[in-house]
Amino acid sequence: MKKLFLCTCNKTLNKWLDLERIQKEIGSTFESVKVHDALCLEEGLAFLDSEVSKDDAIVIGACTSQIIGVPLERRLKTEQVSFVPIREHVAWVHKEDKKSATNKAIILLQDGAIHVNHMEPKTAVDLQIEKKILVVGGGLAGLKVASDLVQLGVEVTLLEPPEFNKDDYVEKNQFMADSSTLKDTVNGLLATSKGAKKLNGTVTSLSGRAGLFSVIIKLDDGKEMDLLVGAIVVATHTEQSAPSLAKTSLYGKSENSVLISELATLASNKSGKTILVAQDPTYHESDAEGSYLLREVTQAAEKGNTVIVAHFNIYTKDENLYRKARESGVIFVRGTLEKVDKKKDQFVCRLENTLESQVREFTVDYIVLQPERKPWSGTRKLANTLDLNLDQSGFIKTRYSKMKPVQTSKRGIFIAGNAKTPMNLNDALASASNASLEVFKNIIAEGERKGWIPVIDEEQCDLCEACVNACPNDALRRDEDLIKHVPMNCEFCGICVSACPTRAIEFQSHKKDSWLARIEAIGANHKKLEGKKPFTLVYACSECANASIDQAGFTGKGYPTGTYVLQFPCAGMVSPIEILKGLVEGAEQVIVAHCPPGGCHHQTGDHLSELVVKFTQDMLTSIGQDPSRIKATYMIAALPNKMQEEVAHRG
Amino acid sequence: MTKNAVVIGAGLAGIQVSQQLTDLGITIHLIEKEPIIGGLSTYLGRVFPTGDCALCLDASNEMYDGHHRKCQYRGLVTEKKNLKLYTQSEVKSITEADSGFKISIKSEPRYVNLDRCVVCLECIDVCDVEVADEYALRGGTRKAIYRPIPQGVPHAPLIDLEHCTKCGKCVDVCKVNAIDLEEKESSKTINTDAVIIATGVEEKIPLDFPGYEYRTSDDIISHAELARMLDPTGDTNGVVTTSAGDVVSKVTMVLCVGSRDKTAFEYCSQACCTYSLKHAEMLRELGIDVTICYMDIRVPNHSFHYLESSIEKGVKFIRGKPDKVVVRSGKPVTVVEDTQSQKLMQIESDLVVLASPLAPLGIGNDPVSAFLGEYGFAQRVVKERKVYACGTATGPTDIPTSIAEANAVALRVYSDLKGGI
Repeated sequence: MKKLFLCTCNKTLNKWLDLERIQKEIGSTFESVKVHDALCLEEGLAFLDSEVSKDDAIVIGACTSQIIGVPLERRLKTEQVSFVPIREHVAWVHKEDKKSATNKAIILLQDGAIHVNHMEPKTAVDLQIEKKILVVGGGLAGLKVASDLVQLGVEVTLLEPPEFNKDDYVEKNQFMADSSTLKDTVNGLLATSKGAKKLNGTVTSLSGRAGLFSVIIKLDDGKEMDLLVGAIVVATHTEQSAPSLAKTSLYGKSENSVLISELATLASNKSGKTILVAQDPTYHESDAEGSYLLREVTQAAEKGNTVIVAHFNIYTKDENLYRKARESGVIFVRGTLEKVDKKKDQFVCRLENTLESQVREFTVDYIVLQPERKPWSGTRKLANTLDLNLDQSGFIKTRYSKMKPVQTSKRGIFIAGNAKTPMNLNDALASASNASLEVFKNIIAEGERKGWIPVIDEEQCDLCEACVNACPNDALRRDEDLIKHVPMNCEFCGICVSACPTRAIEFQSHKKDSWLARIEAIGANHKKLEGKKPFTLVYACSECANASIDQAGFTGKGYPTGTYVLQFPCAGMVSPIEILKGLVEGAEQVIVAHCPPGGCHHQTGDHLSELVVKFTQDMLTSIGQDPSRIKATYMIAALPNKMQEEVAHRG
Repeated sequence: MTKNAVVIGAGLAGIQVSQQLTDLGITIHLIEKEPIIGGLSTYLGRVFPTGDCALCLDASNEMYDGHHRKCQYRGLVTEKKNLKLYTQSEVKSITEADSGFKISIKSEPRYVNLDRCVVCLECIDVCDVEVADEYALRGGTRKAIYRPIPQGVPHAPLIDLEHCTKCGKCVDVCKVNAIDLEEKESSKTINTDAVIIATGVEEKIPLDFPGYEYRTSDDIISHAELARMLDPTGDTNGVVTTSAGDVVSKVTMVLCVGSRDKTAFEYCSQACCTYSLKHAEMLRELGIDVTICYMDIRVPNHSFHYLESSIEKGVKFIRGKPDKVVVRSGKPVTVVEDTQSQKLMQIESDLVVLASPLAPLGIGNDPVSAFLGEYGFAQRVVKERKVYACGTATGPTDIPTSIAEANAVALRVYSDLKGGI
């Protein structure tokens, strides 16, 4: 049976909505309409227990599903539920016009009735996970991940780069901490990671899916091996690049022009010398490198040398390092090394700061350069093999820099430590344990994930692979004459649907016909109730955009009635067809609302929806129609005024 | 037996560590002294490095299948099965007992029952008392029964009994009987296996740093205050105004106010350079002229784009720490020597924004301060297998670093308490 439940929210919604008229006008759409004053409270939930059976299809007109959805879904006997947020999306934003607000509520509840008609049970995806882990190491974080997971009883293979040996952990990571802390940490981790199987070699190919990857590794002796793993952690190291000041500073020409990694040896043999240390002016230094510079120059000064640091910005998280350096007598000069002249055994160095009026000259015995730290040289090749994205500096890019610090663009593959950016020891260890945690959570996960998935019509599919290319999570693949869905990789976003040119993909509960039917009904019902008054359709993604619209309600940022929000799983699911259908049905304006730039929960929906709208605008322009009737924009909860700004006020 | 842990502080790190541990099967008691969760993030609006919402949480497996982050209002924290949240609560004592601790907490009454309130907001509508809003900068008010911020969690309002006249109007309109003006404070003792300190930092109000006249002028403000003005839900609707109510056209920012200073706060607060740049960029988008006075610009790589775009958008930079900010004819004037041109400059502007230090909050709390070290910050592992700390309680930092540390500490706590598969 199809049932409607309306909640008055402590008898308040009737101030702004004519609930009696709603019941009267919508009654014929449902087999039953019930009103309750507090569906979210225990008495409301108990009421639903008694009223709803497992074969019912129900529409809930109440507060936003983001608040009531969780308790209700746990409690309701049926999975066929459509939520209509008559509080946040109607009553609270249209307080000035009860008649039109009521009309809007009726139209949205009727939309809910159509939506629930198309609702299908969610598909369960079994979590089949291989309980073994591959760490692609070389960085200290790799050792830490191996150690963490071995301690937790997980089978770990630690793949170190060819010709890499355990001394390299100290040797290649001098910049991460002072040498005794670094040595102690490495020795500790070497001991606690003993249970990991250690190999030297490179990854040459990857297949399979999240939870069950097949990795081919080429070992040092030329042999190949195939490894089945549930997840992969990339924890590679960084390398010193060639110094940008090499030519100026006679690096390579004079043995007294050296790199920072050689300063310690230099200072331990010599004292009473004058040493100029120059930062790389072409490069934004990390705090790890800034701290390293400060530690090294302090030591050199403490050995009785005069140390001058030519810098413009030294970044450290430990202010005491700066103080110690000053106390040890290090001289800090702001400026770039512009010119070096050899004068007998010494260098005459000219420091210039283009803004500063004076040029300074120093005569020194040694020049020490701090070059940029760049990613391990095999990073690009590895990223290609594993299908990972790189950032501007060539390090592996995280999925979302604010809250997903170890997740990559690919499900089941994580990064740790210096694979991401040069890190100090403390941050690298945290990053490693963070990756270990994510991996461990995957490994112990039991049961199933549930969601609506794409279903491919083999007859209509012409194997163009547009969906394979569009899927941000590698969940669709060509397998001979079929496109196959990989449920473990799927995030249930529906981006594949809009990508398919032959319309061969149907998304459960959101079939293409269901969108068309819903859009048509909204247009028809609007005309019936509101006559010629213009209306706007907002196709909002279910994450940031939906939250922004909810918050418009909470903050009372009203907008015109006649604005109807259709919630898409992701804005990337919207195709030109739904947009044009909206215009055909009479919408004055169609707005596609997505997550902020780069902030799509499924990675590409924000960008794709902008492209789809641009494409549709071009189509309108070419047939002489006004392209400004459609637009794409981002909406976030921190900007609850976005709806108000985007939905133009009309008379 | 189920293991449990007490997390002190429900800011972003406290929430993160709690969610991770509940996902791993550990029961969490999350203790927050404010009426809503979120800590410092409730003031910030939009945050770096992504420019989106401060009130965003990494999702948990139990609630949303792990791969999505969600807004705080979406019930992640309050709906989790083995997470018990105590708001308006403070830890009174921590005593070692058997293998763990006995922790006693005291909770102030909210006067609104969380299990009964439907968040219809009718009580707020009928309340006649208006008092200054803590989240407002330019004279905004709130009622005696109020929700501190629109996204605040728990959603239910609370009553500020100090200003409440007990007129009873809110009680009358609340047909679900959620309001109890006679509610009393309560105490509780929790037996726990481990304690995680996530007490965080606050932006130190620059009251007493000599030379900055913060006390004298309402046009000399802090960054948290500027963030409130930039928030479209704040009392200025996102418009940046002077104390006289005029729209601002020129802003000067001063970095390192009281930081990296042996006479005040010795350490570098890490996040202020980036949030100053973030705010400078937002002000430029509003067409406001911005000058930043700085000693060093310290921006982590993941936020470096803020420096690039600030330069691109025409933010002016002066390398020099101002000697003082004075008020002349009602306007703040920043006196600074530009160390590059070696000229003494006097910059008059409508608003001066001071980047003051991020100071540890744990320090004022007696039972917690026993676990703190240098400058009032804690180590990640304070006491092997017993006391941990994460987020800005271990030192000022930005959100990504805080989150990574909270995750790392969650794993450590789990392996110490449970040992593994």
